[in-house]
Order: sequence, then C-alpha cells, then structure tokens
Amino acid sequence: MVKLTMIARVTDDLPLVEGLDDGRDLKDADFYKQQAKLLFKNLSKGQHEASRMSIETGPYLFHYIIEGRVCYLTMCDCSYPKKLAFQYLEDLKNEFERVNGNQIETAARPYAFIKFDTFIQKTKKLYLDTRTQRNLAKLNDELYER
Amino acid sequence: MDSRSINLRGFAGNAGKNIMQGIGGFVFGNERSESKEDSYVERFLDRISNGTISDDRRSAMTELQSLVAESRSAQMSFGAMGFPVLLNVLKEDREDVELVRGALETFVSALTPIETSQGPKTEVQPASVNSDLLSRETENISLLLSLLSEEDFYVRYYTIQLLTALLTNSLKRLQEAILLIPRGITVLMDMLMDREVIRNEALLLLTYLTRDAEEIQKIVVFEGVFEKIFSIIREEGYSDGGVVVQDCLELLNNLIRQNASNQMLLKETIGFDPLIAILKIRRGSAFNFTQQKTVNLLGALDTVELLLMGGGSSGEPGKDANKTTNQTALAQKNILDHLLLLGVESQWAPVALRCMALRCIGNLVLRNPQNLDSLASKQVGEDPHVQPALSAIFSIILRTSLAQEFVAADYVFKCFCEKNPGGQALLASTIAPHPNQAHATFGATTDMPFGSILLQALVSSDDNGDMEACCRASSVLSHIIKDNLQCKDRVLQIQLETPAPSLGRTEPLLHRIVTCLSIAASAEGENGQSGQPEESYIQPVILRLLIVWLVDCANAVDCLLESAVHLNYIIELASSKRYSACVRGLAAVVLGACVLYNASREKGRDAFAVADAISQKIGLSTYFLRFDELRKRFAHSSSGQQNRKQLSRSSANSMSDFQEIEEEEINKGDQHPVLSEIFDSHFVSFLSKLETDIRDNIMDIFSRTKTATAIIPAELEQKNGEVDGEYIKRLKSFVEKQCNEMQDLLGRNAMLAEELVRTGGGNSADSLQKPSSGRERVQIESLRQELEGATRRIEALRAEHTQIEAEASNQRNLAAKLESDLKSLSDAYNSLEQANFRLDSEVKALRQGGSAPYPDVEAIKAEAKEEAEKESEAELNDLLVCLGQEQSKVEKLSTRLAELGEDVDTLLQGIGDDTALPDDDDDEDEDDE
Repeated sequence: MVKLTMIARVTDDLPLVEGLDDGRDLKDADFYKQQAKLLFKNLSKGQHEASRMSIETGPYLFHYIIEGRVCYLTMCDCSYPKKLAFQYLEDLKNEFERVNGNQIETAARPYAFIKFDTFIQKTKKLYLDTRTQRNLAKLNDELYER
Repeated sequence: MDSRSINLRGFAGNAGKNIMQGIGGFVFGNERSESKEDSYVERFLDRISNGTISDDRRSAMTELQSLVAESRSAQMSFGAMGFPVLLNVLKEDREDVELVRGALETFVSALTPIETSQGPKTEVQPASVNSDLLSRETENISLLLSLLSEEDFYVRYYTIQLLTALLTNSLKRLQEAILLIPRGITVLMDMLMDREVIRNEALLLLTYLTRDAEEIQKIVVFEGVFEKIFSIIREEGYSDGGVVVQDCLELLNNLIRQNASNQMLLKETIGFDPLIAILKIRRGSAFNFTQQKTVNLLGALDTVELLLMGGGSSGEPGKDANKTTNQTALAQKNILDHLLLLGVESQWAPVALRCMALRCIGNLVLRNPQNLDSLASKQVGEDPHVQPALSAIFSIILRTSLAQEFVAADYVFKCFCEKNPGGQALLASTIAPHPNQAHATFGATTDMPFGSILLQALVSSDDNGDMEACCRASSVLSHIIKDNLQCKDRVLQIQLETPAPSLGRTEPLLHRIVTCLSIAASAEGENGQSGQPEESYIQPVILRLLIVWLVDCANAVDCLLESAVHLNYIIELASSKRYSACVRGLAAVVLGACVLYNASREKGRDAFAVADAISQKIGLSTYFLRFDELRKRFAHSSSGQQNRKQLSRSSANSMSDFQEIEEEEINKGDQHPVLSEIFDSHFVSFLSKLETDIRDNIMDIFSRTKTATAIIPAELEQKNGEVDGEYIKRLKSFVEKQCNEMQDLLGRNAMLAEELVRTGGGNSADSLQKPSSGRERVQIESLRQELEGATRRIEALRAEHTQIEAEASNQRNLAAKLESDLKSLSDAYNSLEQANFRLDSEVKALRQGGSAPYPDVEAIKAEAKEEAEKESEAELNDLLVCLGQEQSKVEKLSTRLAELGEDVDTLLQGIGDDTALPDDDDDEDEDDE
C-alpha cells in the first residue's frame, strides 16, 4: 500500500505538498520523510529531465516521476505492484498540473499547495487494495501489452 | 436593492450599513459586475446563515470562498456583509469541521491582496479594510486563538495563516490584542512543536509578532524560543536549509536587535556555537552558493552584527560592556576564521556575502585588544600561498572592481586602527620602498610586505595613470596615521625617487600624494566634460588623507608648504567651480589646517602668510562659505544612510523581497555610495569641530598685526647739531604717535575679522562678491574715518548725557532726602500732638473722677456706722429682755425655796458664776465694733 506521498519542486527541492495522514500506519515516519527530502536535494543538483525511477530504502521502495520541473514521489511496500504505484503518481501529476500548474514556479514557501492533500487522500483510497476490480483491470492491461 | 437592504439589516445592522456606504465611496469599476458579485455574495451568505441542510451550507461556503479568492469586489462585499455570519459559524458550528475550514479559508482569502492591473494605484485595498474590521474586536482574536487547539489540521493551518495576514495588515493592533489574551503567546509558541507544515506557518507568524514589540519578545524568549529556533535550523540543515532557516534567523534577529538582556540570555543559555555552525562552509566549495544559501548566511551575519553592535541605544551604560562581552565570546568560538573564509578566501562567494563578512570582521576587532592581536597575527590561504590576513584584505581593496567591497574591506582597516596605536605602528613600520619596486609588476605582490604594497599603490599613477589604487591606498593610510603623531612623523620621513631618477633627487611621500591629487583633478575635469553624472570619490578620499595627516602635526604642515606650488594648487581646488562642493569644502579644510597647525616662523610659510593668501585669492567670506556647503553635503549623506538602515531593518521574508531591496539600494540617488560610507558621522563631526577651530584661529590671526621688523624711518636719526634732550623729546613724540597708530590698526583688524566671520556664514548674494578693489577700499577707509569721528562725537555726547543724568540723579536723591526729613518731622509733630491730647484728656478725666468718689466714701462710712449702731442696740435690747426674764425667775424660785427652808445664798453662789459668761459676749460685741 502507499505509505508516504510528497511533491516537490526539482530546481531547489522546495516541498510543495505532503500527504497529511502519512505515517499514521508507518513506523519511523520521520526517518523516511527525511530520506525523501534528501532524495529531493540530490535530484536538485542533477539534471531536471523528465524521468521515472525506483529506489530501495530498507523494506520499502521510493517511486518518483519528474515532469515539468516537479517531482512526484511515493513510498510503498516492496510487494506493492510498481505499475500501480506509477499509475498513482500519474493521477497525482495530472491533477496537480491542472489545479496548480500556473503557480508552481512562483511558490516561495514550503508546502504552499498543502490543500492538494485532499486529492491525495482520495486517490490513495482508490489504490489501497490491489485486488479491486479497477486495479486488476489495470494490471490486465499491462499483461495484454506484453 | 430592496432585497439587499433587507439582508443588510439582517446580517450587519447599522454598523455594517455605515461601513458599506463608506466602502462604496471607494469602489471604482463596472457597476453591473459589482452588483452581480454583491448579489452572489449575499446569496451564499444567506444559504450559510439560514440553511438547514448541512451539505447545502458547506457547498455555499465553498462557492463563497472561491468567489472571494478571485475578486476584489467580492472581497469588499464580503467585508461589508459577511463577517458576522462566518464568525457565528466559528462560534456555533465547531462540530462541523468542514464548514469551519471553509469559513477560515474564506477569511484568509478576504485578507489576501489580489493583484490587479486595473484601477488607480490609490484604490483602497479590500484586504487592508477587512483586516481592520476583523481585528477591531479582541474577542475575535481570542476566538481565533482558541481554534488552534482544534484537532483538524486544516483548521489550525488556516487559523495561523489568518493570524499572519492580520499581523501583516494590522501589526500593532494584533500585537496588543494577543498580549491581552491570557496564554495567547503560549498557544502560538506551542505551534512550533506541531507538524512541519504548521510549524513553518507559526514561525512566519512569530517573525511578524515579535517585530518592534519588546514585551512580546520577553515572553517569547521566556517560552524557550531560542532552543526551538536552533533546533529547527539544525533540522533543516543550517545554511543549506530553505526559507525556513531564513525565517528562523529573521525571528532571532527581531529578538536580539538592540536588546542587551536577550543577547545575554542567548549567550548564557544556547551559546554561540549553533550560530557559528551556520557560518561554517567547506573550503573550496565553488558552486555551492545558491540564492537561498546566500540569504541564510546573510541572515546569520546580520545576527553577528547585531551582537557586535551591543544591545542598547547609543549612550546606554551597559551597551559597551555587552558589546565587548559578545566580541570576546564570538572570538573564542573562532568566528574570525569563518569570517575570513567567507569574506577573504571565498572569492566565489556572492559579493553581498563577502562585504557583510568583512564588516563583521571590523566590528569584531573594534577596540578589542585581544581580537586586534588575533587579526594582526592571523594568516589566510593554503600552503604554499599563505599570507597575513591584513595583507589579503588590502589586496581585496586594491583588486576589487566593486565599490561596496572596497568600502567593506576599508572598514576593517578603520576598525583595526581605531584606538590601536600599536597596530598602527606595526603597519606603518613596513611602509618602505621595496628593492624590486621599480621592476615589479602590479599583480605580483604576494612576497612584498604590507607597507611596500601600500606604498606602491600610492604612487601607482606613475605606471598607468589610474588613480583608483592611489585613492584606496590613501584611505587605508589615513586610518594608519589617524590620531597617531608618531606614525605621521614616521611616514613623513619616507622619501621617494622623483619621476626623473637620473637627477638623483628625492621627494617626500606627502609631496607625491599632492601630485596624485592634481592628476586626479585633471582626470575629474575630463570626466566632468564628458558629462559623467556620478561624482568621483577619488579626490575627496585623498583630501581626507591630507586633513588627517595635517591635524596636530606641524611637521606635516611644514612639509606641505615647502613648495609654494602646493599652497596655490589647494587654493585653486577650494575656489574653482570646476570641482564639486565636496572637493572644494575639503580643500578649504586642508587650508585651514595649514593655518591652525602651523608652527613655522619662516616668511611666506607661517600661519599669517597662509591666511593672507586665503584672504587675497579666495576672500574670507567665500572661504567660509565652503564650510557651509560641505556641511549641507554631509547632512544630505547622513539622511541617505538612515534610509539604508531602515531598509535593512525590515529585512526580507522571501527572495523576491530581497531582490527588490537590492534594486532600491542601487537607485539611491546621485551621491556616490562610497562617500556616504567612508565619510561617516564620526568623520563629519571631526570636520565640524575642526571648522570651528579654524574660524577662531583665522579671526585671531587677523586681529593681531604681523610681528615683522619695520624699517627704521629717517626721522629716527639724530640731526646734526641736535642736542640729546631735544632728540629724546622728538623720539618720545614719534613713539607715542606710532603706538596710537598701532592701537587703531589692531582695533580695525579685530572689527574686520569679526565682520568677516559673521558674514561668512550668511547666504546673501553680497557674500558671493569678489574681494573689493583698491579703489573701493580707499573709499571704505574714508567712510570709516568719518564714522570714527561721528562715533567720537556720539561718545562725547553720551558722556555728557551720562554726566547730566548723574547730576539729575543726585538732585533727585537730595530732594528725596529732604522730603524724607520733612516727613519725619511731620510725624514727630503729629506724635507730640497726640501725646498732648492724651494728657489733656487724662487731666480732664482725673478732675471729674476726683470729686465723685469722695462723697460716696463719706456716705458709705456714715451709713455703715449707723447700721452697726442699730445692730448693737437691737442686740443689747434682746439681752436685757432675757436678763429681766431670768431675774424674775430667780426671785420667784428664791421665794419658794425660802418658804421650804433651803439656803438661798448657797444656791445663788453657783448662779453668779453663770452670769459671768454674758460679759464675755459683750467684749466680743465691742471687738466687732
């Protein structure tokens, strides 16, 4: 399941949103949050090209998408399907760009778009159970493509 | 409209109606659009206020919030109608979290300015008006603070944002309200322990809350804000952190700015180690300075500067002690190494950062013997390119193309040399021509001692004609010799080869500097012709060196005046309109110093000669005008500096503001920023005192005649055949005449000098006239003699008048005396008459009184006698009656006894003893009589 969600600006690793109920069922939440921030900082020093990547951190995986100079990151169990994780991030990306795209570059303070958390919570619920009909359909699509 | 009126009465009452009318007067724009949005706002408010379905109320709130967030007129309408409705939601609907969230978010939107390109600039801001409305009642603030205890994240989040918006628009009112609310500040401080998003908002709120609010600052410090600040800074990664670190430093600087007790608490509780940790940067990290990192480091350096400036206002007794304590404590944490790394060794660091670090170095060592010694012995750089720190800083002065960096590095030398004669001597001792100087290139200076580099820079005009290096080196030299006579004399001894070495002549360094000044003046003239708007600072800085050198140093004055060309040149500087008011004023001060500190007796070079040259070639009135122009010039600079300080005080919360401040500083005006910085208030007051001394001294000179040997006139020779007696008489007469002439001349000179000093300060057009010609002087002399005669006559008349007045006074006194005597006699006569009258009355009274009592006494006596006699007779009669009765009884009883046979005689013997008692009674009666 999705454990943690953060969105940050890549150019200067400024946090834009975090999932507010993150860590409710996660041990060492602060530690992993700090890890995520460190990841953002490292990304800010490199190239800012569009990309997607997965990184192991203990028993969990960080998945992130970079697009439009924004990094969308989530942390999941290792057993959680990678495809679903990236689909989840795609949903967040599409909505975030639609709602806040014009203001991303001018944000001066961290968590300027914290209100977006409400959308994160809704989306998170949709991706909670890998065995729901909707998520199975997504997986089947993937199999068909192969 | 009718519907709106009904709603107004229902929602806002009379106050709302009045506010609506007032706001309506300010609103401009499309009437139709405004009316439409008013209508929408009213409908949403009505659904929220009167609706019974929760979902409908929530959706109305959401739509209201969206509308208010996008439209200024909606903001205004909401302010006019909506506050009571939403405040009621906050009070009565606390269980409906979503509704409360919406209400708070709507308030935040109503108080957030909406940028618009339409409408005039002077249009009133709805956000400001709404803030004013909401903050009027302390009860509203108390309500908001109570919401910070709610469990829901968004309720706390929007409440803090709302409070921050209120603080932004109504700072003082909110500060006062929060102070009045019990535990108000404590509740806000607890938010720093909340999750990160809330913590960040609370931090920003506190930076506003603690601005210029000493009481709040005390409470916040008591609540442990220092620990929280540095904990957050550490968590965020010190200077590599984001805007949150900037907020922390902003809050910290609010707390310690001009606050000695808070500075002391910071030092004693947290210590300065966390502050030093912010300033630590890795050596050689060339590309590590992001804009946010720069802002964070500048914030930390601002903290250092506030600590080094002390906590109190100027003149406060504890300030210097606090400053010294902070200097020592910071030095013990090796802050000097970090500052040198930032300011000197990290030439890739942003210029603002380097300048600030250099200023902190200056403040760190100022008047602190231990820190001064540390700086003197400190080395910078990495092996094998190690050099003394002061040499490295001087290299920056010579090398930098940025004026503000030159000013900052120069400040280090100013602080190092102030009240530090040992340090000055140390630097001056190395000032000597270097053996390789003739062939050394300007860039290869690492192996030359400090003084040789300084000397080379001072004379660098020989090589490339650029005066910038000479100017900057002059500034440093002026610090080295200031208030230090030994250093002045030592530097005065330095001899340089002239530009033509084959002749084998040398010239003093002072002469070379005057030559540089003239070269700079030529360049200035050329620049002036090309229409360069910015005035140069090169000449003023060199002139300052001359002033500092000449003061209290007669040897320097003598050296300067060795060549008549120098005096004439400086007079030209002071009088020509080609030069700026600053240059002319400073040149005038140099001339004044040549008079004031002149100990020479040599003809043509003494104080009188210089004063005479000033009088003849400039005119004393015009000369003193230069001081007035200079004073006005510095007054203008001083106000400019004040503005800059104000800008830095309200330092930026975000990088965009930081950029704006930089732009504002650039557009400071025509005056050169270097001059404003270098000619600080201390130097200006020094010039002011010097000016007073110069005026007094010049007046004194013109009041006394020159003590030159006069040529003996022919009259003094003894004539042929003239006898000694007659010769002596004639000589006496001549001497007497000469003395009279001398006295007249002295008086005339004194009067002239006083007049000139007085008119020198005026602004009238007459003062600008050139010195009078000889013909006019003759006329003036003639008029003056007439005036003198008239004055004498007036004096005689005045004396006569005085005498007459004295005589009249005497007569008046005499008359007064006589009158007094007459009055005295009259009083005596009256007294005598009164006494006589009293005695006469007494006599009459005695006569009348004498006859009356006498008959009365006689009558009283007779009457008393009669009464006494009457009483005696009555008493006697009574006794006789008693006696008769007794006699009768005795006879009867005797008879009966005789009949019975008793011896009556024997019985009568006893009765005879009893009859003796009445005789005693008679005696008593006689005594009574």
